[in-house]
Amino acid sequence: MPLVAAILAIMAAPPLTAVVQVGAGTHASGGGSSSEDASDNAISMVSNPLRRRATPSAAASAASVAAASTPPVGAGVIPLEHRPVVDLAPIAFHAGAFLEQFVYQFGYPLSLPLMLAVRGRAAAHAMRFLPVGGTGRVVQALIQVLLSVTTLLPVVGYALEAARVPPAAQGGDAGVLGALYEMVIVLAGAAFQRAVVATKYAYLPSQEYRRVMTSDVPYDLLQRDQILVAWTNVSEPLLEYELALAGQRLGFDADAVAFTLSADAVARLNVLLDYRDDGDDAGDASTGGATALPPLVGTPSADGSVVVTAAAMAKALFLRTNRSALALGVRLGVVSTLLCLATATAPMIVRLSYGAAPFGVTTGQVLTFAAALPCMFAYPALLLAYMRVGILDYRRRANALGRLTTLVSRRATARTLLRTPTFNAAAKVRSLGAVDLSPAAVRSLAPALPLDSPGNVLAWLMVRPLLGGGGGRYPVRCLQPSFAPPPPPPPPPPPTRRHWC
Amino acid sequence: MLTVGVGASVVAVLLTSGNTAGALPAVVSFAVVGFVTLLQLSVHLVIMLFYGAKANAAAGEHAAQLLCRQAEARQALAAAEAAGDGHAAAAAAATVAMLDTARHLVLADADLEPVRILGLPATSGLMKTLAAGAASAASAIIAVARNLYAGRVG
Repeated sequence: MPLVAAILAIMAAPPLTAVVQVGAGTHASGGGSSSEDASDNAISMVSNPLRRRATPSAAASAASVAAASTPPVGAGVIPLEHRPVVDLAPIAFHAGAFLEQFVYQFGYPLSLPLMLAVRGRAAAHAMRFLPVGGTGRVVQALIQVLLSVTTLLPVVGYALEAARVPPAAQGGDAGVLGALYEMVIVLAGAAFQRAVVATKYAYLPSQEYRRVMTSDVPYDLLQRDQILVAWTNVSEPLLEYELALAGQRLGFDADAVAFTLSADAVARLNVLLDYRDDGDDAGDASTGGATALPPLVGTPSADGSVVVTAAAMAKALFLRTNRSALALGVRLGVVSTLLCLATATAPMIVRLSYGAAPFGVTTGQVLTFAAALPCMFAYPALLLAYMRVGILDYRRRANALGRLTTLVSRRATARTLLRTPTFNAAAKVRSLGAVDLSPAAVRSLAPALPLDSPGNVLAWLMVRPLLGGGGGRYPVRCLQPSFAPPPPPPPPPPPTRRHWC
Repeated sequence: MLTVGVGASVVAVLLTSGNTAGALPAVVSFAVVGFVTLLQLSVHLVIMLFYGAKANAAAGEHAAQLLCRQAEARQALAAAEAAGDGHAAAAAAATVAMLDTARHLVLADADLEPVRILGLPATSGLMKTLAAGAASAASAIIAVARNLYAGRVG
């Protein structure tokens, strides 16, 4: 991988040779190349940057020189790749699990004996198919039973209706057709919703899926990792876990990659993090009161600078997009619920408008129409709830990346600082006439996050994939609970920073 | 929009299938339920597409910002070299190189791993295309409904 070695070279090489060493490392990487290869290509880049390989004689003559200035490839390097370096398994689709889960879910409760025979009681317990094991499980199991039984009733109603076509006064063929349509709607909604649930299981890693289906996972753990509960309103511990997981997948420790900032820069960062002049995320931007988010805090170092890790920066950015995303989710949820209610009652209203009985006349019609009503509300509402989590997730990522933009932007810094009491006595200025626009004053409005050193650039570069990949398993796996306990506390990070900082 | 198109096709078939008048409530109910559900799904997809496009657009902004910071670092490098300050020049050169690398990485990342919706990179162009398709579908639905109504009244 060329860029890995490029960064290694920039960080580790003596400053005056850094540019040359970029070329050296560019060809030395790709799966643990030797230092000899590095020196080989170092010479080739010095002589001709477009050459890919140097002659053996040139490499031999320069090997000792390059080896003296270049550490072994891989030491202290922050891995970079355009896709996660490791841990691709959690986002792989497993067709077998999908089919198995679809059968269990769609056929429930009729599929329960089959499931108990194949997988045993633990699986049914984990999937909340059995109404035992505490209030939460009982309630969820009862809801599942109720919904599933209600889903079967339109089928029974249609069978009754079709078996004995009623006379014209009771609807005749039209009554059969109505029962057929509503049964199709209910079954299609159920199939879609069950398919989504089965897809969630299908994206579990194989090992984790086996564990879920064979061991009794504690209910609290299940609930804590439920996407509709957990990933909608992300708690700080879960966010930290997901960011650490994203760092692991990318191959680096997000707590070992850090910005080195001045105290003044940290103060500016906090102002900029909590300020939006367009009102977006205004609720998150409180500078006081109970709703204020914790400020970004770094670790003071001996030379007076402050070290802020990439993980802390990503967390601060992410948290400040959470509340407005939730507000959007609530608004969408209200509209969606009302529309689902209207949709579910539409057939009844249509029948009324045509002068027919809203719930039919015959037993089959009554059974079908009455049972279809809650199903036509529940299944679309559940499907849309899953989609809303995807919207929240996309929105948080987009807005967090937007905030990351503002941190390195002179324009955003100037606009914010000119309007903030902390930095400007004439806060909330209405006219630029009140502002010092001299070149010196404009120069002083440096970006809040200065990319003025290779270490800061690298840390900024690492924040991007953290924001893009943190919690990525939720939307990819259709928001399925992971069932995985939080990882044990990581060991102290290796002293990688001294290699590149 | 694809789902809307499929839904429109289904409803058009239902409305033109020559069912008896007594079956009309069932047909209309089916159409209403299908359309509203499909519409909601489509709206959710479009909202996701909007934010996906916004996230993708951030990559271009980031690359531009890195280029600006790189130009500033080059200025600092030139100034340090002119002043004969080797240490400052070396630091500036390393920063320039790193900013250049970072900018290329950001652009490559945007090219290779954009936010995708239904397998397609989320862009504002895709949104416009889907909006045009939705407008066409809506106009077709209205035309079918008007023809049906005219036929029944006539």
